[in-house]
Amino acid sequence: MRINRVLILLWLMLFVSYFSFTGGQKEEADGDTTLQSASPGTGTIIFTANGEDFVRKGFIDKQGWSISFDRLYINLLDPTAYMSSGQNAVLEGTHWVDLAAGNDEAEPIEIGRLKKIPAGNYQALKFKIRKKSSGSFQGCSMVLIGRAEKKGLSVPFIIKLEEEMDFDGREGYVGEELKGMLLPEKVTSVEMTFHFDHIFGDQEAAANDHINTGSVGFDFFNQFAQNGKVHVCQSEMKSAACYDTLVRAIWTLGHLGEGHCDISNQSSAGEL
Amino acid sequence: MATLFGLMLCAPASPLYCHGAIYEVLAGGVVGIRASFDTGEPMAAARVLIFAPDQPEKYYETKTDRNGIVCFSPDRKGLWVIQVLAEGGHGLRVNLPVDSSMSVQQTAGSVSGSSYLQKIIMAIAVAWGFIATGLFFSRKRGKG
Repeated sequence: MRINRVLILLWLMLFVSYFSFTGGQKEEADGDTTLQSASPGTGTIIFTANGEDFVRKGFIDKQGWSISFDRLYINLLDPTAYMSSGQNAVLEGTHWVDLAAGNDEAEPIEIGRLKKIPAGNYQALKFKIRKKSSGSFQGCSMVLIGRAEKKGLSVPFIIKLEEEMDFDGREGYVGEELKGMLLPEKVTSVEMTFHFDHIFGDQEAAANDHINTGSVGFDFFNQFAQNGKVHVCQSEMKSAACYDTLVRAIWTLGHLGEGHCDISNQSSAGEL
Repeated sequence: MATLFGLMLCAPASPLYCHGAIYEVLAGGVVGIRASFDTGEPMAAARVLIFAPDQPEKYYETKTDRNGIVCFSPDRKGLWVIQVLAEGGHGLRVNLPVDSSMSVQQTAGSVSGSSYLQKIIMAIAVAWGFIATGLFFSRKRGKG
């Protein structure tokens, strides 16, 4: 009998703990209703993808390699802008995007736009990354093509990643613009931002900064070089030391500006 | 089992996963935001962009103080959006619905979502609930 009471008490404590962890987030949802009821018109949402200056201009990784990208492909599926009320706008289909397109000053890449969307605060954005099902780079979800240079050494690379995952940016875009706020007869944009410095690290950050401690750097990929070139698939790197660090870094790629995303359905989740 | 559970509750969450932020709206007529990292450390001297209702293309810019606090006086009702940009690539976005009395309808929130540790604890809590309930009823039937 005493054990039964203890079991019941423990279960109730855990039950209360479960709901206390989910508390404090509902307040974030109420902010949509004020705008929604006052603005019944429609507008246009533009969906964009952005690799930021790291991709457009290059950077120096944590090991001193100067990384530059000629192409950086990513395969996006069904990006969806949504309000906490449930109203959403889905750009259906897969979108094979080159984040390195354009010059150093290029704007975020437009993937598509949806017209006649009911006005509202579409601050949240979720999207999926999937393997390409056909054509060149079939079976890849992301392909990094560029060059790494260090101390006179120049190493061209083609890095094919196969990781699939879902990102959900409920917090909204954080940056120098207000994205997702759709007013009647107006246009707004929403942005999927990808932080590829999370894979390589950044020499400008401190050595103990999470950007460096959680990244692999170019040396990881250079170990697969043949004849001075790196041409490697994710599946070929599984037995390498720090492969799990690479995968966990890939899982942190998706952002909305500086706003973080929840991640789910990672294809390598059961392997680490 | 209880010791393991207790240790998990006390274990600090990895900073790699807890990148969220916390805000609270202060009392006193003026709308104030206290922005903190989920470790409790204030977002001090962070850039703050304040967007008025129905004006997404322009903002008022200010900074948080050393305690992560920023204040402003809304002059119209509607949805105000505050974006705090802290160093190191961190930040948060807060929606503040202001009513006709210039009061904010909500007082606090977290924009971190569930951290990895929280999700583990929730999953264990639910699983333990089912296990404990099953053990309770099976023990009762055994006695009969």
